[in-house]
Amino acid sequence: MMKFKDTLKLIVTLSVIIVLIAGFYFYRESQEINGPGEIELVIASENEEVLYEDVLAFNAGDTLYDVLKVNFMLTCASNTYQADPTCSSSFRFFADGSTIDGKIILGVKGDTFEIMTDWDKTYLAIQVYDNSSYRLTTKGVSGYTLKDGEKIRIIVTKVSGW
Amino acid sequence: MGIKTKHIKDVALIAVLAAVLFAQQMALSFIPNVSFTAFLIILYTRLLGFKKTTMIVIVHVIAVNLLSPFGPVIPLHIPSMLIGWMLIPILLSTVFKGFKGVWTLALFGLIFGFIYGWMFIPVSVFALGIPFMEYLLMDLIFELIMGISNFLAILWLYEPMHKFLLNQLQKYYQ
Repeated sequence: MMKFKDTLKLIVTLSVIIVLIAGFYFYRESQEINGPGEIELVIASENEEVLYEDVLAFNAGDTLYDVLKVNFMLTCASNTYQADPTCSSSFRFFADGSTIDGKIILGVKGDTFEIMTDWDKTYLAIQVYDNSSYRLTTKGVSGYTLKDGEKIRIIVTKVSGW
Repeated sequence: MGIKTKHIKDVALIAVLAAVLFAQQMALSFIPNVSFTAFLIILYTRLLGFKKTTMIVIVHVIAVNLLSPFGPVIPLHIPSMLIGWMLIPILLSTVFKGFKGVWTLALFGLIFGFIYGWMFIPVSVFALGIPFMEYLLMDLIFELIMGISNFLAILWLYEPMHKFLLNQLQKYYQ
């Protein structure tokens, strides 16, 4: 026969799992479905000089990475954070209630500009225009849910201390 | 047993237990923030004491950053990681020395999930310039996952593992 303390453990464990599944379900349900739409994209150098500014269209379900990949030549980070122009490496991230194979972008090349970072001393910050200033997004290029009409800036940023 | 033999056994034990810590973290790394790391460090602290657990934690942090197939954490975060894991032997050897029951240790593991996450805030906010509120809010779900996985692992595994390892350690040091 099961002891009282084991029964208590079982009840607590099942309660925690039920609460966790319910929380996970409601969290996923609350996530917005994006697109199709348009975003205004700004790409800037470290001293905030605008190198590129244009309106780009995106399809339903597109991530920021999908939009960038279509419009620019990207250099991603390999698994050891070295430059990988093929963007073949992925990093496992958690976004919108599930794990995704995300990319880390180190560089972007357009027709008239090129920016490159090295991850150690500089990185590409993704910012969204909100209340008359830019704030950092809380998700990366593969996890960020695009919203129609929003303005996004990708800016070369120095890691503090370098 | 001579002192020299005991020291050799200690070193071998530290290496084996650090390897176990590293291997399980790598094996479970496909699930974000779910691992037996906190559970094992708590178990090691209770079985081996502060000094040996400290050595295991140091070896573990070095191994994770040198050998992980997912690459190292950014160098600025290595002290946060070390301090975070070291909090377990420090707290369980000082202010929470009396925490020996499975329920108190499970609750400690639950709260530790959040504390470990907060260890990365100072570097993220002050050195990397990540906004405090955004970081705190985004990290909460990961801290909760870590806390719950710690809680359940300790609740179910602590007593049988403690009994088993204690028995093995007694044989090992005979």
